[in-house]
Amino acid sequence: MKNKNLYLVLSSEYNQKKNVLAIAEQAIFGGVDIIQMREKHLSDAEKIKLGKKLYALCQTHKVMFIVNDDPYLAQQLNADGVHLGQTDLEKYPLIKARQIIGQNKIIGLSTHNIEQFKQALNQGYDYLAYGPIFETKTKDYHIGTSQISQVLAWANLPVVFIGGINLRNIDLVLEKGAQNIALIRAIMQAENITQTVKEFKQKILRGKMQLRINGKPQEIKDNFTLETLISDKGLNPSSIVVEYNAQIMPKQKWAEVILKQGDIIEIISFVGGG
Amino acid sequence: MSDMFKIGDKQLKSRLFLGTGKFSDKRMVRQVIAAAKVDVVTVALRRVDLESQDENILDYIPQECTLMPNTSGARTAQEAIRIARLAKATGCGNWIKIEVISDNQYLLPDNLETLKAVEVLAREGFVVLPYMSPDLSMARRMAQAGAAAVMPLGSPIGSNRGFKTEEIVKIMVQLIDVPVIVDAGLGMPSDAAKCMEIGCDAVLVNTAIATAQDPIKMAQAFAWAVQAGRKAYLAGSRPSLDIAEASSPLTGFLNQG
Repeated sequence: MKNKNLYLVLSSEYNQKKNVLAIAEQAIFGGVDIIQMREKHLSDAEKIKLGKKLYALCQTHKVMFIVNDDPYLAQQLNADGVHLGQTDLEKYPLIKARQIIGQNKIIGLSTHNIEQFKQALNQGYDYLAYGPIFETKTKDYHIGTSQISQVLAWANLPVVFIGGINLRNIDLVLEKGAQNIALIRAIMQAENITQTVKEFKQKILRGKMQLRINGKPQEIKDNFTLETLISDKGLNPSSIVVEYNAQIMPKQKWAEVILKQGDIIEIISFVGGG
Repeated sequence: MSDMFKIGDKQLKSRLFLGTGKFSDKRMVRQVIAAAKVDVVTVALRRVDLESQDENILDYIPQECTLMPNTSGARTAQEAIRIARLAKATGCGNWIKIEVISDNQYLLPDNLETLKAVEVLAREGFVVLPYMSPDLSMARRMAQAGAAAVMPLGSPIGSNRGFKTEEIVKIMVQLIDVPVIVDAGLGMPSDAAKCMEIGCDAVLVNTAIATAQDPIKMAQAFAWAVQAGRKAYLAGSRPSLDIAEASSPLTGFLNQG
């Protein structure tokens, strides 16, 4: 699993008026990357029925399909992975979930505080969810954005931030360096789902990386190399030297250096001097 | 008659080194270099201004010139070393003028930090020219550490106060094995001539030329002064006397006898 994902948790209980499948489709048109089926109130038969349709839809549009809570269901539906909550762990510890769903599938875990997050690192999960960041109706507590940078500093796998994130507050999450955002209500209850997803997606992609270039904070787009940065800035490569995280980077290597969050870059050239 | 001198592996003809700061119009740098036939040119390294793209100073310096980047802005040896390595990475040669300054008012160099930087950079293969406060034992240590020349100041940078350190520099010229180049503070061509007359190998001038009303004319004047001073040094002068010694014969006067 790579970064920069808009992750939709699909749950029919949040929108009684629209069909979940229709919502999923509209969200996919808007550019959702991952869909998780979270149906806590359906029967097993209903889950399988819905799951098969969602699987087919996601397959067609190359969207990742994740099943909540139940590795057996995920396996049965041939989903891309399963998402476990802290309360699922007793029933399905990671090793067991892995056995059920298979080696090449994705297993994610919800974490709700620093301790849980740290404990989940290096266990073999493919991603971790962290939240609720903001107030939500389903949880009686929220973490706030202050721990995001810290969590990301420890993380050696993708982290999906979740909980009460909407178009008004998403920037607060992204500016801390968050790259993956999970949404429920903000999409499920949107008037125009496709349009709303597009707006979120734009923000996540633009949510960009924060770098320091010549001492100033700068945002750049994803997949920038040193070479693309230099040409984007309109600089003449022959007259500058580049220091990348305190190391001089020779011109021949610029194309290989993929910029990442927090990089410190100095771009220097000759000026008149005595 | 050729009177070349050598620094690092370069044979140099002009004993006037030019600093390129403070020119109101960068294009003038090229004209000044041509007018004064300068071989060695200093430049500084700075962060590129990403908002307003300035032209590059190198566009105005002919390829044949030897570029001597300085480490201005460095307050410690470590910072000077970092700047020197960046300068080398530009691919514009391996000369470096080490300038380590921690005093903001008089911009006087920190000889000890400068020496540390010389030690490291000379080992890395740089042609190192330290800008320094005139001092014999320091200059010796710099030379031992691998400095290709030493550059004592004439007076504070940009002050145009002239050659105020003559007595110490004279001693350095006598006793130091590497070239001595007076750098900073020279205000008029006569200051440069004086440096050359006492045997300095070269002078480095920036402010006096760059801020003159006519920099090209001033550069020429400095170039002539440097040549005149050098020639006078080579010619060798007799020491001065306290009383007169007639230049005309003291016999055969008309009113005699």
